[in-house]
Amino acid sequence: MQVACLLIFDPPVAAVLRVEPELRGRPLGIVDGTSIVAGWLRGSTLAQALTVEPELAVRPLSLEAVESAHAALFDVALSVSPRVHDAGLGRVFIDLAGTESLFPTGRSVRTALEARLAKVGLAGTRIGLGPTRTVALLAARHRGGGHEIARGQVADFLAPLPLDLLEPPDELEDRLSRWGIHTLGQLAQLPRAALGARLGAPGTQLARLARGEDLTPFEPASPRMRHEESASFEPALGQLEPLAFALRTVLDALCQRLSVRGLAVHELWVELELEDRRTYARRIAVGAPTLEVSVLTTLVRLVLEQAPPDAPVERLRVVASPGRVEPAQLDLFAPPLPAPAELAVTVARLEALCGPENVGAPLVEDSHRPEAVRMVPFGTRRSPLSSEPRQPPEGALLALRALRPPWRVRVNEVEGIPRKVELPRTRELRVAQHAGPWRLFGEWWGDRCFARDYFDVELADGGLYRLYHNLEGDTWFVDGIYD
Amino acid sequence: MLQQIGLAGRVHMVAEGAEVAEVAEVAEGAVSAPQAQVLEQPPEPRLRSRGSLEELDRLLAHALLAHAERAGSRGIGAIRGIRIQDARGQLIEIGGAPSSGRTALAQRMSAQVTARGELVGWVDTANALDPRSLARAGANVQRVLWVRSDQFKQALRAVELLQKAGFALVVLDLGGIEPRLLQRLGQAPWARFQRMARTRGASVLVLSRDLHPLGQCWSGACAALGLVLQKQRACFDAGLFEGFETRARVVRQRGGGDGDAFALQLRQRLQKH
Repeated sequence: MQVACLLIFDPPVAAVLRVEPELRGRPLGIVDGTSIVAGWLRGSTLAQALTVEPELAVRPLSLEAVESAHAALFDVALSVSPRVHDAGLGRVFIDLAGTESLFPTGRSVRTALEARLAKVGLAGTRIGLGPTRTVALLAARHRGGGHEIARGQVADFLAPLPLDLLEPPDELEDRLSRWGIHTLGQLAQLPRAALGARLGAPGTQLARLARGEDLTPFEPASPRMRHEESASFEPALGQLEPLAFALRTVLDALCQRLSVRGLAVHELWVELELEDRRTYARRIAVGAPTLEVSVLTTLVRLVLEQAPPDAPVERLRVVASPGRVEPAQLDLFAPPLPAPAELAVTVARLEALCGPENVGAPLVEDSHRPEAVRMVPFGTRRSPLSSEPRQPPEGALLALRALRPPWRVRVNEVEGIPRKVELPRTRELRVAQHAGPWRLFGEWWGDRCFARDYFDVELADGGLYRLYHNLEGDTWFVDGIYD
Repeated sequence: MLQQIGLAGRVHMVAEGAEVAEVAEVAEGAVSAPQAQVLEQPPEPRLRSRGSLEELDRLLAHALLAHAERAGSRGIGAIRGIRIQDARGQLIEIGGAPSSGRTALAQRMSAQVTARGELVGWVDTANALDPRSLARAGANVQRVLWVRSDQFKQALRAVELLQKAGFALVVLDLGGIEPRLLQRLGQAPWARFQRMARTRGASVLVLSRDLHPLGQCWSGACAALGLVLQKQRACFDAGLFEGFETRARVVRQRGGGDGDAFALQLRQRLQKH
């Protein structure tokens, strides 16, 4: 078994560089309170650090950003193999068994991992390959990483490595140092029983690590189906434009993470923490899974514009539900349809313009009630059944223009047959010709029972109307005009 | 019973405003012999006699192909044999009073567009679209995006968005818009629709309720084709409403042809042959 180790040397710094890549190469200190906890001049106070290095870029410690960076690292690992051991912040191991057909050599694995790490903003992450997790970790830690150790080379590789690469407890390291033990090779040669008698379990475990053995079995972690990115703002953002800019950065990071795993954004959950401690949350459905940041930004922006947060925003959190991008099979004879992502933006724009309840595909409900129609979300996915072109009938059929709500009209009737109809805002009109009645009666099992006598009438104004007599209330309505 | 003229054969028409005459060559069983004798009238020379849905299709196809013609992508001979479903990219206006048949023609065109797998946007200012009728006309309603808005500006903006998105046909039903708003509008939006239709290949079909005071299209010279429909005669037969006849007059046609007219029959149901 060959194992790859991905190691972020300084997770808080990597988390900042992931969001602000322009800081790469510049002195950067991560500050928690008044002291620098990571990066340059670690351990000093902020004032001391700025005195020593006036050009020092200082960023606050964000545990969420560190966790996001670790999640991105995990995603990269999962893009290579489904067996990934999560060893804590900034450290994952990949079981490369079975990936030989994809990555025949260690170099090809490293190249692929480096490209994907750069894609998710984690360039500089150390990579090490070895037969065990311990060897892979040491290969990643030693001299900037990038080492590939075969099973037969383990002893030669480990022997000259300094003891502190194993990060032993200070007391143990001092004691071994007093014995003249400074390298892993020297420690590995000590007799196990004698070492255990003198140093106890920590000593024997350290000796096993020095021989390249793992102390625990490989535990594959289950892949995350929830992808989250966040950003905090100090001071809080009070306007939509800078928020949209930050949103784009966050969505870009999210999309890069998903892309390395071959996934796309299917649904977004946007959560804003406002200055007054309230939370603003919106769910945004994406028409078809996409990785186009501009499309997603537009969708979120349209939602925010429609109902903007009423207080400055301190923190932005975006959670994506992943989906698979479905390949579109183009047809030689069928015309190309708009791209699903673009269509989703158009529908979102139309919803923002006219209201979401006024945009959709018409749907005839399974009911005998003629007015039983509604709107459903519009989608263009070609189903195998609907891909067959449906030829419209030859000739032209009458169409009905629906009146919503139906006009309530006064009708002069003789033995149930309408003779004159008074339409809204008109005088009474004679019925020139009529057809009917035919009765519609249904839904007697529920509250919406209806019983109507329908007529098609031609009135003296030349209009052709569909008229019905509501038998329950003895009222007359016009619910459509033939056109 | 009404007979679909397009399939039945040649139609003769009488003077403008008079009742549409009947079919000279009729399909079997369409009109009984005595009835045909009574209805047969001498043709009116001023009107084009080839009235039918085929005539409508020819006109629409001609209008829609105007752009392609100029671009030199098709020969002039292609127009004659072209079908409406092969052409796209122009602004067409169909006007007329209620019960004149505008909606039926728009639904028929939508059915042809969805039949070739493309998308239709239906901007409905009157909230009058009846999905049952649309489905009966043969349209795949899953490929129709229905946008309701009684605000004129919103509706115009919606048309632009749909054109930009690549919808093959955008129907703008102006049934809910007051004529005074249309009068104030000017030509700019129509010109924009026309330009976009050409560049994007997305046809716009405008259904207007009221006629322009000058008897023209609201979209004026921007329209490749302007038709005004007028109901002629409703047919109630044996207690059933069978349909009605309508007369389509060409009020605007790019390249000439204004004043042409032809008859159409819109039916409640199609006859099985």
